[in-house]
Amino acid sequence: MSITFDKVEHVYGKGTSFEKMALKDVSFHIRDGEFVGLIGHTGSGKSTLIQHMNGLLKCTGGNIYYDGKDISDREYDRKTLRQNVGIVFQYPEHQLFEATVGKDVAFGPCNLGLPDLQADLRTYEALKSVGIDDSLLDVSPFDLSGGQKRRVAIAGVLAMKPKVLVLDEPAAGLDPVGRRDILEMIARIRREENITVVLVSHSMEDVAEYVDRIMVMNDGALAMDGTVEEVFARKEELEEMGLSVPQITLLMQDLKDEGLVSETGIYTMDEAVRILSQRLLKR
Amino acid sequence: MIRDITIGQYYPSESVIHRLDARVKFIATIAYVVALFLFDTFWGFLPAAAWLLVIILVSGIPFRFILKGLKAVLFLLIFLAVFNTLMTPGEVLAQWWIFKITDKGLENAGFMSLRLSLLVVGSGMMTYTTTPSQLTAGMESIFRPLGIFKVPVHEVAMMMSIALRFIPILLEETDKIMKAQQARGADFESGNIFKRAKALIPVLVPLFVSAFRRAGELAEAMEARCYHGGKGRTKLHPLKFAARDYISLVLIVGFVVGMGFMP
Repeated sequence: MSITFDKVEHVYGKGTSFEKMALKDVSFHIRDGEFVGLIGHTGSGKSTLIQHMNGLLKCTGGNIYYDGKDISDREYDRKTLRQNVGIVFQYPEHQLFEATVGKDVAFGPCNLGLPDLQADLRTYEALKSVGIDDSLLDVSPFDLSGGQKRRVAIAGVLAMKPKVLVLDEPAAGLDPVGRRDILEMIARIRREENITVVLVSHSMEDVAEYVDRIMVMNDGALAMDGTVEEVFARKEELEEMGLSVPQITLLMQDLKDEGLVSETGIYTMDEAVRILSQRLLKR
Repeated sequence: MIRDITIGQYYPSESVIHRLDARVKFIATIAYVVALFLFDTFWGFLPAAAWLLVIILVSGIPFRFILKGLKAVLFLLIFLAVFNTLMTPGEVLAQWWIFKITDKGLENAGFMSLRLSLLVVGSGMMTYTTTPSQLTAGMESIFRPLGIFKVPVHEVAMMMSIALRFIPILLEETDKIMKAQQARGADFESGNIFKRAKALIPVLVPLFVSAFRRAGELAEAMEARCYHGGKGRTKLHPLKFAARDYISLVLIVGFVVGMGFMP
């Protein structure tokens, strides 16, 4: 599904002393199947933005379209929207509640009114794609490890079979191996299911490694929108917003300034390793 | 939705009421509540409402915010009004099946709901204008003499301040969990009362789990900072009476005495 935000604006607590402009004049278009990274400082409006994507928050100005249809239309089916756009919130493991892993994952499909058999089928599929073994189906989700809980929670959203998957810091609070596993898993699911993915992250490294396009939020506005190269080339502006470029980019820039390498704009570890090992072999 | 419940929240502002000593506000609230029960004619509402109106105007809190606080007790208000209308014996004005509307009933219903509304708004004013930490510091100071009777004043005050501190956190958490479950297709807005109650399970279970987790974390954090009860504990901002506090006390006493002499 393609997503279009047209001059979206959101004001919290209108008319009270808590009034706060959380989003102003946000416009963008995300094509079907794109992998978009959303970065921004804490409080820049990222979370507010993603809650508009499945209609949990209604914009106080502007319009949001999915495949060209306005979601604020009276005829637009809210339930279908929630099914089509899956949001995995920060620390999704905190929303687990059922007695068993299987039942928790089936919560979404059951809410869609699917027959039991089909809901079960989706549960197995979703758990398989997040790498949770069948033997854990009847275990209480509260007995799992942190990483496993997160996977189960993500499976709970995947079981809805969303066409757009939005993840808010899916790797937060995990160890390096856990981080990598979760992000690799998301990239794989995107390839296999051919869905649109929006990844909210604080880690420039993660974003550089996985996404095709970066959107930068600053102070409620969309400050930048472009490819990884385009966005990370504007290092100074990013630093003004309290963001940065990947560590490896800084290192490679230093090496270039020293005249040791000639390439610029290196954003991932793999690329850097390739270039540096070539250089070493040449010696 | 859940944030609409404003009662018990603090509304930041710079008014004189906000700057008053918490003890004064606490005494004023108790005095106001007592005063509300001193009269039994409609005329008594006049000074009570006027007093409240002045406080609201001085505090600078928007009426909309205060009305939202009343929404929390709307059900109770309606309940009270309906039962008073139907259950009070008196001259029957209208009758349908076993239901009788009497003149006394209508009067009672109006009286009770007005009194309850003033009660809720009046006591709400204290929490709107006092930060939870000031509030509990004030209460601790007022009830300190009870310590002679081995009442654990400090512990109770600490529990209260923690409980109050947790209200916004738990509200936020509830909001978050509700959103997460709504994203999975949960529906909290339709169906009959049983269906709706059942729909809350996916919210309540994670909420309890997180409340216990938070409680454990907080206890550990307090211990890590050498918390060992109230003995010998000093305050960063000790409560001190200023001129405005003495003036307010005089006004409060005047108000209650005045209400006591109402016909």
